[in-house]
Amino acid sequence: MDEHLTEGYSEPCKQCGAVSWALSDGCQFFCRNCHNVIEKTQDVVDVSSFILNNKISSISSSSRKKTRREGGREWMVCEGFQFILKLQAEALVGLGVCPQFKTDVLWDFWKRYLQITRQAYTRSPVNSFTNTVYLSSESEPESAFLSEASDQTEPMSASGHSTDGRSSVCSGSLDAACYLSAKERKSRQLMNMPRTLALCHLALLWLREAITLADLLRLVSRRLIPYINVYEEFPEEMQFYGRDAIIFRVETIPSYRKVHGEALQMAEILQLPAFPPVTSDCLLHPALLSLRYLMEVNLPDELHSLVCRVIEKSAMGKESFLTFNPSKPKSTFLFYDLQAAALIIVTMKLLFKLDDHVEWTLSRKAVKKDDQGKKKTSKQGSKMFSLKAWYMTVHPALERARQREELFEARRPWKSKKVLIPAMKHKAVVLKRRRVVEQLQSSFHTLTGSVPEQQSSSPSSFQFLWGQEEDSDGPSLHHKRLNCMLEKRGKEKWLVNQAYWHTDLKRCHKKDCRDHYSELKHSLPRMYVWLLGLFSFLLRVSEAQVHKEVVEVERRLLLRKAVPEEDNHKHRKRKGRKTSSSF
Amino acid sequence: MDDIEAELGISRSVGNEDFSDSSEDERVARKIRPPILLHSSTAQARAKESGFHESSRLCLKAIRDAMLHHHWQEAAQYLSAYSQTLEDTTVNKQSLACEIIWRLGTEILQHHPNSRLEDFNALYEQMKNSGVKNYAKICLEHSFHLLLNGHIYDAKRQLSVAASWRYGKQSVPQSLDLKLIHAYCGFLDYVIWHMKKSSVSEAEDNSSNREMHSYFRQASVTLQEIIAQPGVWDPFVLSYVDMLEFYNDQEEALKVLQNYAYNKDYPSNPNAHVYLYQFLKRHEAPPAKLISILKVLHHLVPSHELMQEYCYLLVNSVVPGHLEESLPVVFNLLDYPSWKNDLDTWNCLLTVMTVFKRKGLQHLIANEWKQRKDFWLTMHYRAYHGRKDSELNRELLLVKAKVAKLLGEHGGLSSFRQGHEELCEHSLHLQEGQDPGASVGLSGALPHSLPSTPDIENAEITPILPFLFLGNEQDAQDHDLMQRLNIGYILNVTTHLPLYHYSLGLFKYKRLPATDSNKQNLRQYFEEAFEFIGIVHRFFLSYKQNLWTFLCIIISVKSTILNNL
Repeated sequence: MDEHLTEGYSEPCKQCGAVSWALSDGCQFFCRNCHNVIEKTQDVVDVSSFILNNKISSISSSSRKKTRREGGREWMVCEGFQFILKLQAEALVGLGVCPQFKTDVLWDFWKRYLQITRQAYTRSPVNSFTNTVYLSSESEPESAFLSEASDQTEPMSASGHSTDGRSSVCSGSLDAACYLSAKERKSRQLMNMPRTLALCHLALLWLREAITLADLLRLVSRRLIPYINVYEEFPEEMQFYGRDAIIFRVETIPSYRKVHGEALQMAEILQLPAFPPVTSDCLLHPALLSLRYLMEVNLPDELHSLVCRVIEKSAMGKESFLTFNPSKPKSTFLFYDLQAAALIIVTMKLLFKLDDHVEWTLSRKAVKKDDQGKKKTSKQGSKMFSLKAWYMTVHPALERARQREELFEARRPWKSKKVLIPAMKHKAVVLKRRRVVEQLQSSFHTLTGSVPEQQSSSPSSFQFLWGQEEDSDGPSLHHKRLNCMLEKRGKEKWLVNQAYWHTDLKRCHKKDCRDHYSELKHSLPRMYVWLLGLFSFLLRVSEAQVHKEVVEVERRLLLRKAVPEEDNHKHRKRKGRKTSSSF
Repeated sequence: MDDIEAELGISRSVGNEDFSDSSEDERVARKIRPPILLHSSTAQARAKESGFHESSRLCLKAIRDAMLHHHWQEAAQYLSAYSQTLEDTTVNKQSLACEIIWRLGTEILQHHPNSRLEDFNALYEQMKNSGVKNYAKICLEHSFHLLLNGHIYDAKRQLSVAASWRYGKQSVPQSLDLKLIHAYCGFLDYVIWHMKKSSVSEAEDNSSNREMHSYFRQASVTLQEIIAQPGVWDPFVLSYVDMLEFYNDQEEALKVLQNYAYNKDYPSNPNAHVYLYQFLKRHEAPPAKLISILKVLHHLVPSHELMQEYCYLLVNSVVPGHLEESLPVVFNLLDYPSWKNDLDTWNCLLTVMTVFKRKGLQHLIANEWKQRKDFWLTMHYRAYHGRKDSELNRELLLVKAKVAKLLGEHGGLSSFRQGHEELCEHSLHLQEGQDPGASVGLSGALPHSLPSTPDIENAEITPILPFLFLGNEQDAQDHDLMQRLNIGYILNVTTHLPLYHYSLGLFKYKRLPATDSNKQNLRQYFEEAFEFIGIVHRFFLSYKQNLWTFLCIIISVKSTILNNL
């Protein structure tokens, strides 16, 4: 756009030698290539002020148009986040989420966020910087804006060439500086990178999509959802450097806990109403989710009915319990996937006790029974589910997967091809370093020989594959029977294992108390810890977190005032509540 | 286990070892950090680290594992992923990454089957320029690598570039590196000069001669400058002296060497005295001068190879008192295991001792001998040494025996002498002496022709009594032989040999599990053996059978059992 303004000037840049000039809004010439600002200024003042005003007003009128504006060098940080959200939404829709996700839900959430935090869609925007712009947007002379801006705050001057000539440290965006002070970030509830995922998570939850938070983070880690170095995708005219880097650079994938917390905060900020109810036919319901995890960890399908019994007993299948309602003061924001995993673990504990003794005895019995059964009908292999066989199948697969994951992590590229320039004076160093890294990579790449292709990360919700296929992790145990674990007494079926242990279920009311898992870990049965490890690997959370969720389920199951029980069910469980709560 | 990390951890202090010696006065108390395990961290630190740092940690671990398993291609692959840590935004991590990539990268290239010199050059160039801190060190390593591949001129160019490099303030270790670079610059000038010299001598060419002299000038200026500073400069001193000698500047060379050897500012360096000695010897200096140099060297390194020469010089010296000094010198030399099997040294000792004996200075020998009698017997005169020497070096054995004879005159070894004369006369057979020490010494001197152990394997079955045979393992296996000799009962006196034909039922067996060692108490088995033999004998007598019943005693190896039977 300013080509016609700068075409008269064709001196090469002193810093990089390129002839690619553009105008800063201080009407100074700067090099597009290296952002070197030179002394020369543009003298047609009113034209540039027109451009400036035109541009800013476009922010206020319609955020969507912004991506289409041309030559615009000025952008707000929230535009960047909007762009990222758009990319993420497109990726999710590409993965099979319903198209409404992008057009309605996420977009609505975002608009609501901008409105509530008074960044846009409002008559009284809170942003002091844009404030002045809005005031000046009609016909105010530009000098007013300039003076306003320069006596605003010290960090304001940091936003580079927008104000005056002293633009050694700068940012591409206009308001990067506010994002750098923690106080302002908090008081104005500004966006950050984890919050983009939190918003996605909320929107997915709203639609009751099958993608849980753990899935979302796994997709991010597999780069199926843009998150790391997403600023590479920013359109040309959104020039990106300086302080923007600190806002958009990602050096870690946020943890489950972090995104969950951010989502909760966002829900509060957005003042969302009650979410659509989680009914038994929706995939977030623990019954369905636990079925999915049972398949994932190669446990027999028969276990599912037992899990459902546990859900019923603990009253966790109720809509009122499952549905998230931020408007209600005491509503909890559930960890749906963790909860399903915890339910499976509790069921396993009921069945096998998992105290490092009973489960092995039971599996020995199962094998024995199997042998007896074989004599009668020796058509198939073993029919009974033996925990030992299951452990022997899953454990090596888990170890392999852990190894694979670790090596994948070791090779993960974090740095972008597009160089981030934190400050002008470091530019040469940063560029050189990038060049060195690229050379090193290419030279060592030639020495690697035939590299085993990194497995194409297909967006599957399963990480293990059980069955007869060539690349499966082991034989499938889904059709094994659990007969051995149940015995008939009269009309009812009872669990063979009659005892149940649990850790202290009392809530700890200390303020700084997070979990007691690290203290407990060494006294817990190894099998139980291994099971925690299995699910913590699958869901990419810590073992402590899974354990915490298990305790939560146990609380609901054991401590609740017994609801009127319908005892004459097929399976009936006896819980030796007092037997071994010694842990 | 984690030698890579350990090396990285202490690399800074190791790299400057030479210098820390050379500059004792200004030595900064350098703390050696405990090795940091970069690839592993505490759980606490792990909870806080970013995903990027976690990736680099895991990647470093993967590189380490690949390298320890010699999977160089895999290591290269991970190193290529690791190079992103160079872009770390924290400064110290970034400079650490620089060093890690430099060291691991060269290591991988060193072992990788497909690496070329260009790869090395590229890596060195990149690493040199991406961290200022290690510039000098990497330059030096690069030029060493070029030298190893015979690219002397390239190496020289590298060093001159490095020498003229300036960047900001020099830190102390950096200036040390630069000093070393300077020194090697001069040294390479000398190497080139040396090459020119050998080519010039063939073809007399003026221009190349001039070129050679210009290299000489460059080299001498640099080397002179370096040598003038206190330090250990062996190769530089040698090359400088070599050039001076070529241009017939003996005086200057002598001055340099003397300064190098005797200047108190320089750290004590035995080589300095060696060089001086060699120089003086080349220029035929009087023995007294040589002796004085070697005296200092003897003081510093009593086990030095020049001590033999020193000894002969002392023996041949006319100065009174020198002769007496020679004896401790050669005795000292043999106190060190490195000279234990050296024929010349023993010869030297023998010579000196004979001279002393001739001159009637036996008391001095006795004196020296008294000090070392205890440990020399175990160090030089054990049965094992005798056997070994007789296999490897008969001559040495002889000389040692002669020395032993001379030593035997000095108390405590009365029978030593007697046994020894015999050895000297026919060097075949020795009787066992009564003195325990002597017996050890002499049995050690048993020559090879006398079998130290009876060759049991090849012995034939022997009748001891009309009904008693003595045989070996081979005989015990020989079914036909035993039947031919009408053997019916077999006494097996080993722990390990099987009862060969037990399953046939033809022979009656008895095993006495005695092991073949001198610690075995055989007495316990005697009665049992007698009983067995007695039964057989009685059986033989009472039935007056015309059958000869024999007993085969199987003996596996040694004389102990043999003697006791």
